[in-house]
Amino acid sequence: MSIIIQASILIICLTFIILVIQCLRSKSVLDQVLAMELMGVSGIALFLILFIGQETILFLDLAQLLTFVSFIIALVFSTFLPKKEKSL
Amino acid sequence: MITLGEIITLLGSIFLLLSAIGLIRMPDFLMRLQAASKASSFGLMLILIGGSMVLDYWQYEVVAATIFIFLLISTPIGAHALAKASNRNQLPIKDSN
Repeated sequence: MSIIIQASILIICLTFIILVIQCLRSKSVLDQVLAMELMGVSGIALFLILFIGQETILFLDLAQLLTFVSFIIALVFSTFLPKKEKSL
Repeated sequence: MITLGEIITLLGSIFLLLSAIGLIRMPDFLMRLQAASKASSFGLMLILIGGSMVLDYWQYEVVAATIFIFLLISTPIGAHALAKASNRNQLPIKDSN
């Protein structure tokens, strides 16, 4: 694994730390949902970079699975989130 | 070509970091939503392009195209739903004036 790929993994881990801090710090539920959605995208990016570095097919399958899950989450958001007015 | 692909991958991860920083730094929810949705999808697409420059597998190209299409569909849907929910709940918007 080259030094550039290792730097990319380090940056994605830093992104995860920032997003966890934002998710714990924010008071609004929508902000927390936004941070969690961005965590999903960062997870896809982390698995893709790990596949680029190590060329293990497991990471590619995990990235694909996480993409499908985030797609279903987006559909659930679009269906249920605008209706839950009082709980936000 | 491999080094160029790795540099593009690094650029994509920097864009993801910038979107996370924008999530902290922006003053109201709609600005945070814009920073999170646009920069993150652009960063992930840079990572996909860089990976296809580094690797020679045709399986990766298929999976990268699948991830690209699903991301192109799911990110605007999620952002639109969140913006609609924030509009209905009347979250505060920072006035620049």
